[in-house]
Amino acid sequence: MQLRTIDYSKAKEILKIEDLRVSFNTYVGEVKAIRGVDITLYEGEILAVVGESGCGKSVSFQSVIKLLDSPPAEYKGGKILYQGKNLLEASKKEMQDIRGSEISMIMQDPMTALDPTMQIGNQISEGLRRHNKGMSKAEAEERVVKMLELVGIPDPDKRLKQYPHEFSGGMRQRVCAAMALVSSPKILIADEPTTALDVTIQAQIMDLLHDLRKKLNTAIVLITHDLGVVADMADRIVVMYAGKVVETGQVEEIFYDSWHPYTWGLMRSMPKLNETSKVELATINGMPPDLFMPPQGCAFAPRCEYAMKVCYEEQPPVFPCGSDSHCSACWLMDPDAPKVKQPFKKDGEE
Amino acid sequence: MARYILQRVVLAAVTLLVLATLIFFLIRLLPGDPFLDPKVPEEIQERQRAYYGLDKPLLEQYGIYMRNLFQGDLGYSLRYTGRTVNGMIAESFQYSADLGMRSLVFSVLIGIGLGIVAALKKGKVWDHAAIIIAVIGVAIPSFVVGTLLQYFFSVKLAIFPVAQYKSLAHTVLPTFALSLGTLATLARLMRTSMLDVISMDYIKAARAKGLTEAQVTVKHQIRNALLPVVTVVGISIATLLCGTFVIENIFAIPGLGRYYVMGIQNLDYPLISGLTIVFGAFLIAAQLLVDILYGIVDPRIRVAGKRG
Ligand SMILES: Nc1ncnc2c1ncn2[C@@H]1O[C@H](COP(=O)(O)OP(=O)(O)OP(=O)(O)O)[C@@H](O)[C@H]1O
Ligand code: SF4
Ligand SMILES: [Mg+2]
Repeated sequence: MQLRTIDYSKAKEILKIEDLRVSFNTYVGEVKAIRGVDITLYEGEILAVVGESGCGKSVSFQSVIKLLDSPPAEYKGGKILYQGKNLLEASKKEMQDIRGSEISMIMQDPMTALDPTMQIGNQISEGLRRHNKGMSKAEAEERVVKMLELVGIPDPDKRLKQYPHEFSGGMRQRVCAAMALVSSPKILIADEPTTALDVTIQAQIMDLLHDLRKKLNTAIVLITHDLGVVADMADRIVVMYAGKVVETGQVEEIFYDSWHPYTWGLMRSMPKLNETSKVELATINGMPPDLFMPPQGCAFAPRCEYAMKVCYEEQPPVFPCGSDSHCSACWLMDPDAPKVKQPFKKDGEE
Repeated sequence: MARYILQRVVLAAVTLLVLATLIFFLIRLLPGDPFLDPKVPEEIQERQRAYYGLDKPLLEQYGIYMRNLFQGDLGYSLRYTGRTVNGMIAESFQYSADLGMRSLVFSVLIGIGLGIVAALKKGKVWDHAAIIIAVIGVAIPSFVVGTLLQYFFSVKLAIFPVAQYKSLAHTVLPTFALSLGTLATLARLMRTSMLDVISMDYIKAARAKGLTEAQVTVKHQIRNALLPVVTVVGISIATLLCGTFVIENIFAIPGLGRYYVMGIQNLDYPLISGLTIVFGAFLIAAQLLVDILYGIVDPRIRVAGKRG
């Protein structure tokens, strides 16, 4: 595991999501997709957001730049604070000024995230010129070439005149990264930037993001459902389940000192590369709850082997887990709960 | 791009050649004989056949036909004594071309425009209006539209002339009647295409760059939505061309359509083949134009042409 570059005692908050609630009004009813999410992002860090499909990772962070179509999406409550401003109350124009220049996003599938009818150079520079009125075409092009070089695209002066279909998947994701980073945003949201790519390319893109963070000091939110990917990338991890955050901590705290049964389940379902013997990949039994009618208590209770009576009756509060950076929303942390042994405790691994 | 265009042009020329050959043999497969008329003495029939070269072996006739064709000579009409097919076409072409072009421009501009507005105002009044126009336009055949328009606006209200093709006012009703179907098809298609495109990731990516809604719509949404519509414009040209037959009849416009119908009734071989070739050439040219246009809007096609 790499050395962490962030000193959290000095780190400055750059984005704070507070009690965010988002619903989708569909014709069969209201889907309560995000049910009170709190996430803090620090300057220059890589924050991994993990959880099973449908737990609300994308919706949470598309809310940050208000990319959700509403209707059907509706912001039901909470705040998204960026530089002291609540983005949920920002005007359309203010949001347009923030998107791309302050907060950027890389889409999941590079095959569909680029406009097939436009040269990639223009796709990269159009955002740049939107945010830098008065920048000449030549200046913009110069910057685009630098950006393409930075993301590792050979022959940038020729390549910028090409169309997306002339690039491979991995190269397209590099183009997307250049597109997102060209106006030097403070925050980059990468929503599963590698799931659509094959394994070797995945690693390259991850290296690239890691490298870019160092060069540009951009805070990166890395959304993924694969814990393995984040182990050697992220500084901190947020684990989400059914529209809520269930555990937050620095990477070591999540990997070696986790306190949440759902996180344990995720870790068991993670393939281990160093294991020679063939082991059956464990998956978490059962299904996430129906978000039309979220349960009254802990949403994980029906699938949790430690579930107690209180778990079905009341939402678990967020308990600190020994350090300022680590907390878990689970009744097991309550002083009155029976003591359980953490399965992934360092030195005492399963 | 140059290579792509060259490919298309060669293909178009070959298509035209095949068409000319097919039409020659197919017409002669039609039952009957242009000069077979019990009232005309056998001897005169023979003389006429010999005069027009119809007594020669088929292959020789074909040779003469093709040679003439390459010189741009479509021959003499069998029924309108002393008139060349070239002359007949030259005199009537302008009317059909004028009506066709007006209708094409009208239906493309209004149809696509309506589709865009409908998609941008989805679920609002404009959208509903566009859908109603689209349904009416697709469901009601042009001859009904033509007749109704003629009845209300010319006969009842006397706003426009009833028939003929002599001034701008004369062109309004035929153009509208001929365009409505195509306009409706294009509007519906453009609307669907716009709505398909809006849910694409690259639209989200464009918004994530901070572009304004207007920029996203113009630079990304409309441009991509046009791709499937452009292909249909080629077919629309064919539809409009065939539509002219009917509309020219309703409004008594002296265009090509009139001669076509008469030519078939009379088994006037040169007239039919001449008109078919002219129509065919027109369609092929239109398709060529669409192909080239498509190459311009869709870079994938252009580059594929360069490589292959
Ligand atoms: N447009 C929509 N209409 C209705 N429900 C939606 C819509 N978009 C998202 N949801 C719901 O919101 C919930 C969270 O979705 P989200 O896309 O954030 O999941 P995710 O964690 O990103 O999952 P994945 O790993 O599959 O991307 C899901 O349960 C989904 O059903
Ligand atoms: S609160 Fe209860 S049900 Fe939920 S994860 Fe903790 S132990 Fe399991
Ligand atoms: Mg997602």
